[in-house]
Amino acid sequence: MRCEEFRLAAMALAEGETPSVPEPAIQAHLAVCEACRRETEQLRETGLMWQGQLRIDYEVDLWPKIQDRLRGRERYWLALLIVLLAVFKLTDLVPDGSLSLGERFVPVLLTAAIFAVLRQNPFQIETKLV
Amino acid sequence: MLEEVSNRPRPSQAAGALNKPPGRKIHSGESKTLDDAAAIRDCRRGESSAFRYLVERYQNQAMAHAMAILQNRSDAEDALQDALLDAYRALNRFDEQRSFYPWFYTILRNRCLKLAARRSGQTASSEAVEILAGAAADLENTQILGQALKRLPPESREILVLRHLDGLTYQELAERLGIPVGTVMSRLFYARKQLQTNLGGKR
Repeated sequence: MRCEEFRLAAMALAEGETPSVPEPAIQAHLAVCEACRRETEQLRETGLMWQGQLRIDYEVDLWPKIQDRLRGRERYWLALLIVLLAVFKLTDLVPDGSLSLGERFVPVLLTAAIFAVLRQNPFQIETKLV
Repeated sequence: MLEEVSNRPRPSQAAGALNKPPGRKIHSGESKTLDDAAAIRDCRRGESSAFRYLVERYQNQAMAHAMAILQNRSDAEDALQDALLDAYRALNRFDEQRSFYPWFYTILRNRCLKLAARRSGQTASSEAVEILAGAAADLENTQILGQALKRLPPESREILVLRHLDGLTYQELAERLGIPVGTVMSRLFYARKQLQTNLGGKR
């Protein structure tokens, strides 16, 4: 087994985690390997520097910006659907433009998509007290 | 600028321990609560205002994590906003058995690392924001450690912060970073070695 594996295992053991190597094997290796012993000791000393350190939390209020961006996305889709609906209605004005059954459903689908973007159910009855 | 220091208890250190991370109770943001679940369900029904609850609950914690990776307040804010919008769009794929924040952290992390790659080398370590606060008696130690942290690559800084300041276990780190526990151990080991190199001669 390589020294590196013992070093990782010694680190895990020192931190109360389950090492990949049994503890007696780690201890036995450290007893005979000066380099690993020195390395483990150095890491322990560096680790001690974290004692008492706290994370600084920076306060932010992102909701107004997030809300704007969510609304912006909705507005984009809404505008696109309305333009598509208008274009489709304009093609309706072309003389002799008889529509197939499938094409007749296009405005219905576009309208449904507009309600979906607006998150509104046109058939929903509001039962909550306002 | 620095508004709040997380009210983490001082870590109690067992004799001989390398550096046992602080207690876990402070991580209120990580526990899965009924409120999170309700907010997520409402978001899925299309009520974007329900997302406000999640944003306001996790934004400060997420900002601290983004800052730990990016070391720049405005970049961290941009990455966090983008990550929140990504999360909103991906909520339909969120597994309700999981906690929200670890799931969101993956999205945030990806955004931060992408931005860090684009910005690589642009933030001088002298301009980087502070992410550590220590006790008054320990101020010098905090400054030395803070400076050494600033010179680490983002991934190394991230894993050290999650381990030592958030107190995540190896298993939690593995889940949070999407890597096996063995990889957590080696990343942590090499991050500490890099930190030790940066600290060389300053202690």
